[in-house]
Amino acid sequence: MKKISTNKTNARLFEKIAKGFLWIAAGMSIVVLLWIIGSILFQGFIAISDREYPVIARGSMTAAFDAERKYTAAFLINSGIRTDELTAQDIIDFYSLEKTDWVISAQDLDVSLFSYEAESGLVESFRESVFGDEFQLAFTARPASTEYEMLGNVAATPGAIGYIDSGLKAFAKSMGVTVLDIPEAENKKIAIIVNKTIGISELSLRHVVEIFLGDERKWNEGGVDIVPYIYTTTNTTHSVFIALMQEGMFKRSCTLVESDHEMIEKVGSTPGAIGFIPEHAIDLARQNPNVKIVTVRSVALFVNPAVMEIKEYRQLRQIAEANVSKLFSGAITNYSEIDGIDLPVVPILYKESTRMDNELRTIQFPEGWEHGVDAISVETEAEFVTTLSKTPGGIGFGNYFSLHNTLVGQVLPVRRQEITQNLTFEFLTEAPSKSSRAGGVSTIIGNTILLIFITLLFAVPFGIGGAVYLVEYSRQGMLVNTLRFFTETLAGIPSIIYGLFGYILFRIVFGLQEGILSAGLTLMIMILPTIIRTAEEALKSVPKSYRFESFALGATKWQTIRRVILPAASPGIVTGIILGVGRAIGETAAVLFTCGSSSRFVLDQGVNVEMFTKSARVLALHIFFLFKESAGNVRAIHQAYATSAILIIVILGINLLTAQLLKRMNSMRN
Amino acid sequence: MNDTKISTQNLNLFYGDVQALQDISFDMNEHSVTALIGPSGCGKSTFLRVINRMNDLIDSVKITGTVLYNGNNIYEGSFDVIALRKSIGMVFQKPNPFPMSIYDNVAYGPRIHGIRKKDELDSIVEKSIRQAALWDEVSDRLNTPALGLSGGQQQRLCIARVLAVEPDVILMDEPTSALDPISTAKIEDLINELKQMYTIIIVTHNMQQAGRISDVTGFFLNGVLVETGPTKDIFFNPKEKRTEDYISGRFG
Repeated sequence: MKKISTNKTNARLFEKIAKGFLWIAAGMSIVVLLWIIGSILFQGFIAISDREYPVIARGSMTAAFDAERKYTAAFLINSGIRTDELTAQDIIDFYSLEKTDWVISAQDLDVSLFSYEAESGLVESFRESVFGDEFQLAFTARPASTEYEMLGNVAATPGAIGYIDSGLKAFAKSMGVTVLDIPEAENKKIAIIVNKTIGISELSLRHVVEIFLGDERKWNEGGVDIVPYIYTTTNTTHSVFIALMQEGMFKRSCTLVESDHEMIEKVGSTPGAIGFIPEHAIDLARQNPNVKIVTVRSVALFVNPAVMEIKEYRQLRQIAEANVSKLFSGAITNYSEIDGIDLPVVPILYKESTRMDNELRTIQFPEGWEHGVDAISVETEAEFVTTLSKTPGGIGFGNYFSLHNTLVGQVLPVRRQEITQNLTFEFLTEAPSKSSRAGGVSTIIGNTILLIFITLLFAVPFGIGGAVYLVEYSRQGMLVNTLRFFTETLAGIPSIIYGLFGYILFRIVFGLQEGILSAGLTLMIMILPTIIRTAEEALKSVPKSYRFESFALGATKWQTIRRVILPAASPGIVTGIILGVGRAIGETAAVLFTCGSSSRFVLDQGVNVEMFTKSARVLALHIFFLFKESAGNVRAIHQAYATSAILIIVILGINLLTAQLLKRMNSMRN
Repeated sequence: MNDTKISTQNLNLFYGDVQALQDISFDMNEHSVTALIGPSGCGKSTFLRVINRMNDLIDSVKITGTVLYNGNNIYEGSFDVIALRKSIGMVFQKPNPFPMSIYDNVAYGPRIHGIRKKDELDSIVEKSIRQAALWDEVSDRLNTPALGLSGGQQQRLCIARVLAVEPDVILMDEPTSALDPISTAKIEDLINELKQMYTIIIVTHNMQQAGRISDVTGFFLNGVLVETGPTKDIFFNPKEKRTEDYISGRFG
């Protein structure tokens, strides 16, 4: 008796342990599944990215272009552009033609630049901050060191063009050099001169720019070579010339408007437009719903060049935003604490209640703001510049627009974690662009739907037909067993093997181009075993009695199969097909060699035979290509996550749909 | 009084090497109910399935002898099995409606025999369900799943389904064995009604049922048709000792 009871206790204990294990197993699998789905959906909907900015924190509605804050402007963009904030660097990149599209707002939209027709201090100072002293002169330009040398060279060289102080105009003419009539140069201390053999008397500034950029090489079709002369030493004339060239650059790249009103109108009516207005016109711009004024982040962290030097394999390249205020509060006293070289931090700050100090206080720092104890105090931006250049380890805030071109200090980029919405409605409706880094996946979704359609077009008749034959017609002999063995083996073959097989069979043997036809056929082969096996099970589970009843009513075998057995087995068959679709829709390797990689929609040139053999990218492939070709590009990774989220949602949707479908079909049976 | 509808002569049936029916000669009359009784495994259901050639569906079956339906041998090579099964309907032991609506179940037979017109189908369905004494219970839910009906209703639906193809013989294989007494009574009443128009051959385990509803009874034992005759004679005045033993409950 006693022994039995011990056994019972042991058994109970064992059951308890087993139950505990099962509980853990179930719990863990649920956690893992939720984790996977949850994290991909999370990453799909929300983009978290570490981005490096030359400027810090939040900006303001207006941007100043010079140290004295004499010229400040607000930037407005067409309201179709999906951003509310730009950095000073973005704006400079746009106006210097470094960036020509709106990839920063994930849009396939070209940037249209707007500026003013009339020269003003605002336009000039903005232009200066965009270009600095820079003008990329043609490398074919020949040197001249003095004005007289310039004159002599131009007079002696056929096809020569150069520039001189406007005071030398009369002298130039006496030397037989043609002084060109250029409206923009009229009131400036500069004259553009050409060799008299060229035989022109006027030239647009636009052409002058193109000549000195090296874009224009001949005076006319098949004519004399253009020989531009430039000064090798920096003199006043050269500075004026550079400013004139910059003016020409702006006029070349911007659409010019005459008034603030026109600026607002035109920016509002041009997709992808960006323009600027003086501060006082902001209220006017706010009345137009087609434009929006963007916040401009223009305060940058400037450091003495010594801070960013390379020493003993260490270099401070950027700084986390959270550390910025610590540099000034005394929490970080040496750059070595933030991966830099061994150099003490010397904060340079503006005296309290100076204009710059007040401005800085409007910037929000994530960690709050606290003045350091040991900070060097300055009063003006000019003083800041000189102090910074003299202080190794010096660090302080400055206006990016006015200081980034100067040699006083280096800009220390700030790293910032950004959380933005990733998967938007536009992502579903827009076509991918800019190597899929902008835009959405509409064309890819279209291709995917077509591919699945093609796959099912082949797989469903073959799958159901095969299963019906196996269950209803074949005598269960060698043939069936062999077939079944192979179907089961096929189900376990890695999909990349199917991909290779499809490549060899459809592309090499049959000579099909890559496209949805060869990919669909490959997928058909891959999901056929699944469909056959599930359909077979479904057909087998139809009670024998249905067959007898039907035969007894005088039905033929085919009638029985078509009208009784297939409908009765349909929930199972449909489940198999949907399982197949679920596998096919997420399949990457199997279509890698057969589908192609073009992100265009195969129907974009209408429904025709060619659509089947056009390179077409599908969702799963899109993720693969985005990761593979991202080259560390954060946008590409975000796009990949958003696409993954779509795939997961589609597959969840398919499964929910199946459940509903089965429920409805089963309601017929109970 | 009645014409012979179905007649078997020297019928032998083998399942592989096993002989299930031995030398059976039996005439079944038009517009009457013939009951086949006997213990389990005696061959009565096998015999029933010989009549509409349902045994064809079993691979190993071999049959010798003749089975005449309206004077024609149904096992002759050229005989149309489909037409035979249309004329000789069958009701199975367990009610087995298809997983479709009530309407589609009854319309199934007419549809496979080529009737497409909606109004024609409607009238056939109504007529058949009425004949099967089910109309009052289901007329308002013809489009609901047949599997939602009770067992007795399902069996009457199966009868209606058979009637819809307008047979003249109905084979019933223990049609009430899976039903409760009330449903059974309804089916029995129905059989009494139906025999006015159809020839009915019923296999039953229930001796009282055979006594109540049949005109002629055949007693099977171990694949042999021991005795046939008017039901009254079989029950009250059996010629064979084995029949008497079975009837009086000594075995079976």
